[in-house]
Amino acid sequence: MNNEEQHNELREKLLKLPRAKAREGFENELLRRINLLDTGSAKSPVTKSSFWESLFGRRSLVWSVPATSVVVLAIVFVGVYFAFYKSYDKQNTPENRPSANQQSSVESLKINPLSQENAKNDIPGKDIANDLEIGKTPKVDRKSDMEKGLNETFISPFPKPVVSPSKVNVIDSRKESTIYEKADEIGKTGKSVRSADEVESSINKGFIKEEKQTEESTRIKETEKKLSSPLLKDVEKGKKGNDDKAVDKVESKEKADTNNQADVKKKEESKKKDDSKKKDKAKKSEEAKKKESLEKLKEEIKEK
Amino acid sequence: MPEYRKYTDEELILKFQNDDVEAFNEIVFRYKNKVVNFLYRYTGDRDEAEDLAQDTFIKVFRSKHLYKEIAKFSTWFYTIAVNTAKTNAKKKSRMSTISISDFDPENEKDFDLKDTNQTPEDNANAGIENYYIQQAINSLEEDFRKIIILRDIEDLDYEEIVKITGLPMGTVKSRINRGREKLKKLLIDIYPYKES
Repeated sequence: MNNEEQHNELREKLLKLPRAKAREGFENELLRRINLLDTGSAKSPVTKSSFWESLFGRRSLVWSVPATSVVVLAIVFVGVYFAFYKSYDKQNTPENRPSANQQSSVESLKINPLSQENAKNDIPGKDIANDLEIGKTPKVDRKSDMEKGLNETFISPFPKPVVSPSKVNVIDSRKESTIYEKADEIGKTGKSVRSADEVESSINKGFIKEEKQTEESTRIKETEKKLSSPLLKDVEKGKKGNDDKAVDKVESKEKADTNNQADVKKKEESKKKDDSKKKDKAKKSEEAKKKESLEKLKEEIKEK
Repeated sequence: MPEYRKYTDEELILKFQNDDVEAFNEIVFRYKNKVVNFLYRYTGDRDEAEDLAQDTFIKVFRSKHLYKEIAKFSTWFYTIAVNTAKTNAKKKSRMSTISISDFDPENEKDFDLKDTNQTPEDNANAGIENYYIQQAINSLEEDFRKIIILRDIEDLDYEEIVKITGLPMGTVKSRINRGREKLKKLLIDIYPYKES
């Protein structure tokens, strides 16, 4: 027997059950709910906010703006600080630090203000000199300051540049100091004045004199380069307010150096001229001798 | 509106897919009583059935583009109604039980109180017979109840029920048979059936 036929009676009963109907306001209620959904979906459109909007857009995260700015500033400050700290460390490496013996020489340099000036000239980066400005002599504005000289009690507010003592030749600096002193005298008289010791040494040791001259000429060139270099100018500008005396002193030395250099060149030229004259005379005498000998030979031949 | 009466369900939903709202109104007119009746028999609660019917229509409205002509519209519509009823039943089952043991830790017994909204007053308009039949249907398991309602109350054919439930034909037939047997047993005291 079929399943449908078995439960036919039950099925009829179930089919005859009264059918529930929707209420009268069913459609209106449905429309109201659909409209609510539409307005709800229209009110909340899905918009993609940018990273910065999501970070700072919320009112609850307003405090994050100053907080992040402070953090960024702190990071920048720390970065800059460590960069300077590293550069300072490079200058103070154990290789550059003076040994016990060298320290004594540095102390002696500190006592001598002129040698200290030399040490100031040994600023790193001096090689980056502007070649166009080489040969120009700096102007001396204040002669009174130049005459005063360095005051030992003067303390510069700016930190002195760290000088590696190995680079400073104490003997050379002292030699230069004597030259600068003489240069002042040359500037006044127009003649080169030498001490008795130097004259003796120049007589006895001619080759030493030549060496000194070459050293002096190279040192003069270096000082010119240093003064013409923009880096040094900046450094000097920074110090100008408080360190005018030292600058004037340097300028006077440079003048003396230039005068010295001119004298040396003149001497060299005169020597060369003398040598050439002597050579010419010797040649002429030799030629005359040759002519005489030739004439003698010709006469002897004729006589024979 | 009357001009839309001539269209089939499938034609109406296609028109609605092309933003013809009048077609949707016609669908609501045609199916509102069917779906309310189905859901009333499924839930046993008239108000709940109305709410669920509205939810079903809203789902149709929002997901109209998901319908494809490979199936009948009534199948697609009842599938939505059945799923809506199922999810509602799950929600109800979560909310209808209150565990007293949480409040009385010394007593290890669980006193689960079933929250039944069914009162005789609610069904005052229905006859006694219908009331007990409905009670018997409600006491059936969900798998049997759904299929019995679709087959014996909504009068859908087997193939449609197969499509709505997603079950094989054999399973549908066996469940219909077993569901009827169970219903008979429940109603035997009221309706003495004659065994053939």
